Amino acid sequence: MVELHPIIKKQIEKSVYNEKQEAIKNELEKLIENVIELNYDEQDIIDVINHIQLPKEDEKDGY
Amino acid sequence: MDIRLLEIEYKNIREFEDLKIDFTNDNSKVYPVSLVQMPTGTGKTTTIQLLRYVFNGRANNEKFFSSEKIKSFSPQFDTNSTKGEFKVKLKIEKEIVHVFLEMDYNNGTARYYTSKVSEEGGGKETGYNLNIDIRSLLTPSFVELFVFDGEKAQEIIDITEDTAENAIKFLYYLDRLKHLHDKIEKKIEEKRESTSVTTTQTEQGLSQIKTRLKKRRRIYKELQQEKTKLEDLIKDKKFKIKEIKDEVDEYDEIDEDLRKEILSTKNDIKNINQDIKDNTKEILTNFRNPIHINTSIINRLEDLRTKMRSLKLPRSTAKEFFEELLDENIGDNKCICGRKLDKENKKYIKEKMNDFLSAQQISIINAVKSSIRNISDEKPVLPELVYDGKEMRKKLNKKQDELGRLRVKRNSDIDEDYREKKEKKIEELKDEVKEKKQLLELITESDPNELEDLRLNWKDNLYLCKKEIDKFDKKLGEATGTIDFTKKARILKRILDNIQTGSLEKLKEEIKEKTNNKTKRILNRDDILVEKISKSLEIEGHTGVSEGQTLSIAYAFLSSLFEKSPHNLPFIVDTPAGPLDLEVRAEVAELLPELFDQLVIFITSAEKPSFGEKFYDRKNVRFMTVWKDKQKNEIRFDDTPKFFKEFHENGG
Repeated sequence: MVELHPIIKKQIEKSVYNEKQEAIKNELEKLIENVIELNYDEQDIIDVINHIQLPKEDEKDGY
Repeated sequence: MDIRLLEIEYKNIREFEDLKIDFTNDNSKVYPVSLVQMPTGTGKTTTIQLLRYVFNGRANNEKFFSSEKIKSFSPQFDTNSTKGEFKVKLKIEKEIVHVFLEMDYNNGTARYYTSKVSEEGGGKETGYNLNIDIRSLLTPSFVELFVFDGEKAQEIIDITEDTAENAIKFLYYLDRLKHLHDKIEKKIEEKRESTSVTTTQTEQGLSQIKTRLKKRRRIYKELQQEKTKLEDLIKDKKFKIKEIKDEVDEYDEIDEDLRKEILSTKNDIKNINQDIKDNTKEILTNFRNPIHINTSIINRLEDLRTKMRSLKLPRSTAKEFFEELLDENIGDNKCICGRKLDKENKKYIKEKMNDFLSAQQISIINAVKSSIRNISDEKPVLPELVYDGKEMRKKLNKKQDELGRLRVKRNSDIDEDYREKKEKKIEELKDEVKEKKQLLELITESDPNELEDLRLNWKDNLYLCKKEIDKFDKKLGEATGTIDFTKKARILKRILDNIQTGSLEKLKEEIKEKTNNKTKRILNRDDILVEKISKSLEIEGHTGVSEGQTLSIAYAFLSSLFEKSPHNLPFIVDTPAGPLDLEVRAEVAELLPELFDQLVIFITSAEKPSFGEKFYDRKNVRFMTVWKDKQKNEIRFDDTPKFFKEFHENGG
């Protein structure tokens, strides 16, 4: 089991915060761990994508 | 990942007929420090090269291990040998793995075998079958970081420009985030393909967008391929430059040995000639004395002495002789020559008898008599001197033959233009690298001003092509109703990009700080520091940094790099202290064992002062010596600390 380097963990936290996606933090961390171990299911990627929250203005204005 | 080097074994490779070097103790535990003392010319470079091939798995690739190079590994002791094998026993995590590198000297090919069971010979499979995780990590440039040549530290700073950054990406798995990035893009594609067309766009319009996007994506892919191709070409050419430089180094090493041999033979000849001169002088001196010539002369002289004594020569016997000759009552009145002694003859003898033995003659005979008085105590020295002289001449002939043979060897080995040719080749390769880099810059340029100046369009440049893709991608998203999914996926990609670039920068910053702290400790000064880790290391005041200082920075960097990485690798280093100053050596000798769990050092006796000797009193160190018995022309091995130290003390 790969343990992510603290710097990478911190960067995940920072990046999801900047994109206002804190909700996916744990899920994304797990996905990255699995990707690093070359042991992941493609559905996991779709799940993380689906859990991303679109900003309100984007939802209103379209693309 | 934890990798340990347990054992290496050579069979029929250059100087090595059959040799095993074990890095474990009686309990099969790896020694934290192993010192392998190998004087120049005993195969240190060979070992490092082969270890690199074992770790990087590229020996069966002509690009990395040419047939000419493979053939050069054929044994020197048996030119008819057709195959050689380098075997390495590793412990990867908890599994024992044997990697066999077999070289066919006739065909110039190399082949790997892997055995993953603890009993060697069982389960031996063709190929380099380490798991994908390890293989993706152990690229040639990465392997060079932990199978390290102390004399080539400059390369971390200069030649392999992307070594530092790539090493961080590999070691901390940041490269794998790129795979995830690509997968997300694939998911967007799949989603769009599976969505039915029910938007305001007409079928024809959608088809046009798809076609255009497809074209841009195809060109983008081609540009990426071209970029990879150019990068590979640059890498290959740089590898070739490095290989040529290694060849020149090896060539110099051989040349140096030959030169020493010629010099030593010439010196021997000079000494033998002097011995012959001395010997000849002594022969001439002794030749004047007959008793020194041989035993039969001594015997004859001894006989003469006895006779002279019994005949009471010279005076008394002479007088008696003539008196008896003239006495009519003695003998038959004839001379000893048989003639009759008549009156006239007798008168003549009587008159002349005193003339035959004058006083001077008598004194000569007396001198002879006196000289041969103690003759029995003398021994003839001349035969021995002549024998020695003959042996010296034989020895001289042998040495002259040897010198002739060495000169022929030198003439056949040494191509007067060798260095010039190689340097010319390096320059050509450097020009090619420059040209490829210019082409690469056109593809990768992203500065808007430069793009405008160069008048590039989206078909020639990745950045511009990507902008085109984004434009049509957006249109397609609108047309297919996958906008939300695409937007979410793009957000995830952006997050991943930030994680990757942010982590890389932070890791670089952390490694830089650690490198600088260690450098300060080693060099005991704070004006030589790593300013930045970009693709390679950028050193403050780079131009004034000596070779030893560069090496110190390299050690500080490498140890900082591996320190917190998820991988625990052995650090194998050749000539670690060569260019270091004595004070720096002591620091490095203290520091290196602290930084790596397994340290394997290939060392020369020249590295004894302040470095090698620092390990003498250290616990858990394995001392080994590999040297060449020049008389038997074979490689010998000893693994006792006592021998190591004596050999070290005596300068090899």
